[in-house]
Amino acid sequence: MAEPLLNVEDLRTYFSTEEGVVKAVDGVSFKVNAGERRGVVGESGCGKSVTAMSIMRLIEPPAGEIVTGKIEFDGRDLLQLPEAEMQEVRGGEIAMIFQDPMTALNPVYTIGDQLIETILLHQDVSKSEARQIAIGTLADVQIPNAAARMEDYPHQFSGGMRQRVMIAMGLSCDPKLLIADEPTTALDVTTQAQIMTLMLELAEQRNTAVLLITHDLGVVAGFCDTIQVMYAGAIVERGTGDEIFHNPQHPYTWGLLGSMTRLDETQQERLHSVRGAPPSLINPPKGCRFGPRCDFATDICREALPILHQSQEGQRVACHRADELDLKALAIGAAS
Amino acid sequence: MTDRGSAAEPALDVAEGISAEPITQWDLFVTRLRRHRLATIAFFYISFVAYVALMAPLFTCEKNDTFCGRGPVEMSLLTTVIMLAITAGAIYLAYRAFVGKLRGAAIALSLVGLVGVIFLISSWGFLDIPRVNHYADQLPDESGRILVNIAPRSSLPLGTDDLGRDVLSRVIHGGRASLAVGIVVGALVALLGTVVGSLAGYYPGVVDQSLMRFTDLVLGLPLLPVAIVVGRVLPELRFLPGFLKQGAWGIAVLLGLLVWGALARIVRAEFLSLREKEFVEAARAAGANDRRIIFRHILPNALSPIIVQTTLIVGTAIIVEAALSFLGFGVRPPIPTWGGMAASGAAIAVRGFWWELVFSAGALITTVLAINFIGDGLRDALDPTQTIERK
Amino acid sequence: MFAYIIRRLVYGIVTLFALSLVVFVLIQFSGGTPLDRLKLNPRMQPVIAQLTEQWGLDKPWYEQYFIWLKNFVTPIDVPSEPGLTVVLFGKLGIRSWVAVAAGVVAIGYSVATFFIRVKANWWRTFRAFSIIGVWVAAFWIAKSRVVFALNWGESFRGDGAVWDNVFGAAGNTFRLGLTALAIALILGIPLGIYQAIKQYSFFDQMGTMLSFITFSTPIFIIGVMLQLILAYQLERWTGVKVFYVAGMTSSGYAELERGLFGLPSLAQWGDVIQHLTLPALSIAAISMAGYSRFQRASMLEVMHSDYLRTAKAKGLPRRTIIVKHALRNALIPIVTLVSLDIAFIIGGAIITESIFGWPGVGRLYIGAINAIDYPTIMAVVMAIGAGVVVMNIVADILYGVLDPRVRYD
Ligand SMILES: Nc1ncnc2c1ncn2[C@@H]1O[C@H](COP(=O)(O)OP(=O)(O)O)[C@@H](O)[C@H]1O
Ligand code: SF4
Ligand SMILES: [Mg+2]
Repeated sequence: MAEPLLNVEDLRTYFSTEEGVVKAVDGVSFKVNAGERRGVVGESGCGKSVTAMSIMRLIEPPAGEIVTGKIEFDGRDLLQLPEAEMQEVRGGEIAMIFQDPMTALNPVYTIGDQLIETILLHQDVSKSEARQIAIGTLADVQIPNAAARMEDYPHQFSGGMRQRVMIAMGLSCDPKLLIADEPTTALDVTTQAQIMTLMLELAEQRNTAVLLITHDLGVVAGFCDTIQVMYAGAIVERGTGDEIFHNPQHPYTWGLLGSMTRLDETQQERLHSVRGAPPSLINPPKGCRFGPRCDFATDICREALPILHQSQEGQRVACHRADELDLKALAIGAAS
Repeated sequence: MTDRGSAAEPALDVAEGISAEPITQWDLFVTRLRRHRLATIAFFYISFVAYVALMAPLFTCEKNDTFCGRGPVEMSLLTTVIMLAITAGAIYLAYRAFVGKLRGAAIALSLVGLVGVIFLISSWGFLDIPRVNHYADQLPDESGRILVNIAPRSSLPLGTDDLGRDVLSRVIHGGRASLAVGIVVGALVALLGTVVGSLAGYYPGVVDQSLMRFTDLVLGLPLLPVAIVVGRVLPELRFLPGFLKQGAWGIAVLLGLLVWGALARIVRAEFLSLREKEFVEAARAAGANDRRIIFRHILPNALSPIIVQTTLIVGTAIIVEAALSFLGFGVRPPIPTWGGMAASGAAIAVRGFWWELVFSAGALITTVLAINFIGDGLRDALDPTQTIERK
Repeated sequence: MFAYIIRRLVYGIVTLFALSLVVFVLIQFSGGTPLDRLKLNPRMQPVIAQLTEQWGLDKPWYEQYFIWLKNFVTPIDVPSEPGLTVVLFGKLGIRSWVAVAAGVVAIGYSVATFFIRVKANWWRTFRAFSIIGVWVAAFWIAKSRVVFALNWGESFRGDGAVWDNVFGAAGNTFRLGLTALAIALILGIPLGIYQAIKQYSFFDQMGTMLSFITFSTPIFIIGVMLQLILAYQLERWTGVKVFYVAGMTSSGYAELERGLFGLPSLAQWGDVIQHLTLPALSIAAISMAGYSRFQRASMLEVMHSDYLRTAKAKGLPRRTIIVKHALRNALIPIVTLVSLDIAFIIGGAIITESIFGWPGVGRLYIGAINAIDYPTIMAVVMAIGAGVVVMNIVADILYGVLDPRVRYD
């Protein structure tokens, strides 16, 4: 297999706050191949956004700092790049879409201004060519009457439309990787599905890899090739969509599945859910971080931190008891 | 929305649970306020200034001594007892506040109220405090000459002014004008601003429209020019009782009546947004009447901006009073005020007699600065979202 | 938009009514009649009779109020012979020309673009600022007293027509106030922005502390201290008179050589600056502290906004992010603050002018108050009130132009 497009190794990003050091991302490693669609799932506050911001090197000192790690993108370690080269990467090779489209666009410039600015920054084109490209991408994201709407300000667009503009802005420079951080969380359910389909279709046409971050397993269902589940700053399970959805190995994944809503199912049944709240990232619990909330915790769980390893079923999982537990059977048992 | 999407909500519930518990919230507030070190220092400084000003006769000097002998002047037993009681109460409260065991804003408020009432009574002349006007005495030396423009020395720590009066006594007594302005303006602004703002915010339509037009009107009056006219004619208003005409009280009331508009606007905006909130809807659905909704549900949640804004307005009002006195339209001589002393001090400072100007100005600046620090600290402590940086 | 301005103007006029009534009633309470001082002077007897007649001083106060109000809004005849052109060329010189030209361009531009939709940002900004041009022109025309004047009467202190006194003094106050404003803006805003960019740095903390202290210092203390240190002490140390503490110009100002076109020469400019610096600095200091604090806060808010994160994620260089994306947003709120600050500047000018003997509106006002010279008091109060009303409207319009989200209903 060829070199992966993105190779994150042992990434650790900490924030120093008044209460102590928040270990928001604590030893995360993963690879994304060109054109791959990768989902990142986990409860709010488990470090998904910080992972994405670290890849973009947008963590703000002095509070936040990438302590260790390697982020190899297209053969270069992003953490070693000088700032000027990193600027080329941002927006040009890795684009990012954020959660709240209502506030992500600058209110005092027109949509056109903001699109053209990005294109001029990363492509060697004239102003009028940039304009044409901008109109083209706006049309691609199915904004009616694209040429005229270039002159409008963000407040003249609805939330879904603004997110389309953000997607257009992200894809306008043909990036190799698109990081979408909760792109549909702020939108209503019908718009969610449209935006998601549109974004993934466009990415596929351009052979752009997608890192889709969400707290909602229902959103990644059916959209992603591979999924990684994060908990308390670390990855606890990684596998194909099938593996994660139909044969979860980690109790946390199992809990998430039990409590998810599905866009593609009309009837939703609450089977089981994760009790309690996520742990403090300043003083994480000893041993397995999921331990205090886990129904299957034993003594070893309280002693040693499980590491991500290949399970018998094929996917990678960070749980001491992954191989002995049969969560699938449990799920069926609970349902019946 | 989605199920996991509500993962952040339990935290919110916890926060609301806290706000239902006044004690816990107060503890939180005290903790946060104490973390703001400048505000803590400022709080103690203001307490000190207020105490010294209130107890002025304890610290000012006696005329009959050959040189300035400092110490309690002849006061009635009642006055002495009251002063000692206030001192004891203040020390106790300061201790409780410092160890973080102060329960409820009520105690602090009642202390402020008590001080205000006693202060008012004393200024009115029921107690013998104001009659001990040592700030107006000219100090003679052994041969009976008046000690004019004496530089600071151990017996006269802040020197004397161009009329031979003890600057320390005058600085201490001058604080009473600022204290009066602080208490009266604070009370009037909090009262008028809150009442007008909440009525306008709670009853849309005619009430809101007319109250806000009125507020706009008051806000449209240029403060200093109007205050100057009033300050000029105040002593000549025949129908006013004496204490309003001479001391700082009249000025204080005037300023209070002029500066509440900004707070009313803020309270109104706060009410407008709060009245749409779920918990108000819930209370209404549960059959609570307007009074209960306003006092139990909305007002407590609007308290932070009221407190912060009032504190900041008090700082401004003290400056305006000082400016009026500086221009000669505020408190009239011989009653000392920091603004008036700065004016006469400036005139002699040119000849090298800097102390009256420097000490009166210093007292004024540090007091206003302390009030602004407290306002800043309160803002941080009451509205933590403002200081937390969000990603 | 048009309806909105009209509505605001109507509110403003109501406010001015209330203001005049409040002040007028207050003046009535002052002991004795305003003419008491004049009575001491036997030569003033005929004048007293005439003033009593003119202002109805023997009538009840409400009748006096209506007499005053009627006079206040009644235009008086202006000498028509010189003709507009002669006056513009001759009597008033090049400055009126510039002012009137600015007004004409501004009005013409506003009218012309009323029918064309203009999109470009700087063009829209220009239109907003052209409003100020209109007011400048109006001020000069009123001051020149050739096209238009109102019957504001004669001063009770026997120093001439109130109209001329107020406009003459207002010109001087503008010289002081606008200089102070310029200093405060040029220093305060960059200071606040720089502090925000370098948040938590030593510089930032020092700046915050300093502006806190300045903000808590009454303006008269700043003025007096500047006089003592920068005028008296500086002269004592250096032996050279660097700054003056009173007046607008030295007594020998007119004898100094004049510059081209009747404009002041270099020497005259120098003299003006020596007089202007200290009073302007004392007003500027406090505004500057306010602006830098406000600017720092609004810049920080923008720096932490989502759209700035978007701008960073696009790969824009830091410079562009700050200059293009942050500044534009962070400067919008301060436009309002500055426009509203005009009231503060006039208030500050009252105190500063009396400290520095500056012949502006403030000193005129203090003098009139002491003498209960009520035509002058009323005229000054109304002028200040009108200034506040106008600047409120200007603030709203500027805000609307700079921030595309604002809609007037
Ligand atoms: N600027 C910051 N300062 C301090 N803590 C932060 C900051 N940004 C994020 N965190 C902390 O890092 C953790 C992970 O946050 P985040 O990655 O945003 O979670 P999510 O998975 O919901 O995207 C959270 O606990 C959050 O409190
Ligand atoms: S390691 Fe133990 S506590 Fe952690 S998830 Fe597995 S079973 Fe649960
Ligand atoms: Mg997130």
